[in-house]
Amino acid sequence: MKESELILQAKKGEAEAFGTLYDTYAPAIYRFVLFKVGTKSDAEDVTHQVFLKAWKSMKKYRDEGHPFSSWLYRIAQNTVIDHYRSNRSHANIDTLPEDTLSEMPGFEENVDRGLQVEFVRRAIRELDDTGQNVLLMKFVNDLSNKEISATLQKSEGAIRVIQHRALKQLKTILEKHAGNNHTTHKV
Amino acid sequence: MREIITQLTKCKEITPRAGFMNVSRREILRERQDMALSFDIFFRPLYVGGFAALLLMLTLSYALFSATKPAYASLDIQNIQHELDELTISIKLEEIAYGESAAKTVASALREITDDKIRHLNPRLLENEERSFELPEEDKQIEELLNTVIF
Repeated sequence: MKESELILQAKKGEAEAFGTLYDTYAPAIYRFVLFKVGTKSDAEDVTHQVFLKAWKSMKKYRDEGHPFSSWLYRIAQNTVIDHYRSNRSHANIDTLPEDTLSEMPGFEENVDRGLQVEFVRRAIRELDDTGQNVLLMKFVNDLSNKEISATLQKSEGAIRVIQHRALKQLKTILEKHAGNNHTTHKV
Repeated sequence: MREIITQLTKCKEITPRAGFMNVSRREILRERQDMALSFDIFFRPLYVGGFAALLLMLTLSYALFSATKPAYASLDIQNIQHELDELTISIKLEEIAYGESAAKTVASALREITDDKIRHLNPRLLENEERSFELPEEDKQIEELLNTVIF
C-alpha cells in the first residue's frame, strides 16, 4: 500500500495503517533521538512520545507537499526539547558508551566498529544543533536535501552550506579526539 | 572528508530493541486519537463560496419572512382587536364579581333590618335608650345655657 493511502487511513483512525508507518519510521526517529538524548532508555522514552503524539494528532495532519517524515522529525525535535526541559540533570553520554554500543547488531563480534560509531557519536554531540540535525538526517537517516529543508524549514542551499560547515567542524573534532587518544596511549 | 562520511553512515546500523518496538507500538495503538477540532474548513477555498451562499440565503429568507409581518405589533389590526376582546372579557368578569359582592351586602343589610332579634335594632331597646337620654330638669337648664353661649 502507498504511503499516502496509509496516511489517509491512519487519519481515519485505522490503527494498523499507523502501525505500518510506525514500523517504517521508528528506527530512523530512534537513531535521531539517540544522538540527541544520549542514553538508550531516554531515546526509547522520547521515541515512544514522538509516535504517541503523532498518532493522537493524526487527524490534524495535513499533507502540504512535504514528506510525512518531516512532520515526524519536527515532533521529535520538539519532544527532545521538552525532554531536556523536564529532565534538567541528564546523564552524561561520555559515562555511558556501552549503552549505545549494545544497540548495534553483532556488537560482540565487531567491537572495533562499535567503538568507531561511539567515537563519531560523541563528536557529533559537540556540533551545534542545526549541524547535528543536518548530518544525522543526511548521513545517518538518508534523507534528501529536499526532505531536510522541509523538516528544518530552510532552503536547500542553506542545508548544503550547513552540511559542508558541519562536516568540516566534525573533521576537526575527530582529529582533536584522535590526537588526545594517541597522547593518552603514549602516556 | 570521505572518511568521515563513511564513519557517519556506519551509524545507520543502530536500531532500537525489537522488544521496545513491539511494546511501544502496541501501547500507542491502544490510545485513542484526539478529535480534530478545527475551524480551518470555513477558510478553505472550496468551501468559502458555499458558506457565503448559504449565509446569503439565510439572510434573504429571514428578510423576506419578516417583511410579511408589520414592523410594529401595535399597528396590527388583528392584534388590537384581540387585545380589545380580552379587555372586554376582563371588564365583564370584574362587573360580575362586583355584582355578587353588592348583592351579598344588600341581602345582609335587609336581613339585619327585618330581624327583631338583633339587639341593637330592637325597637323596644331603642325606645328604652331614647328614654334614658331624657335629661333631668337641671341638666336641661344647663343645656340651654350652653346653647346660648355657644350659638
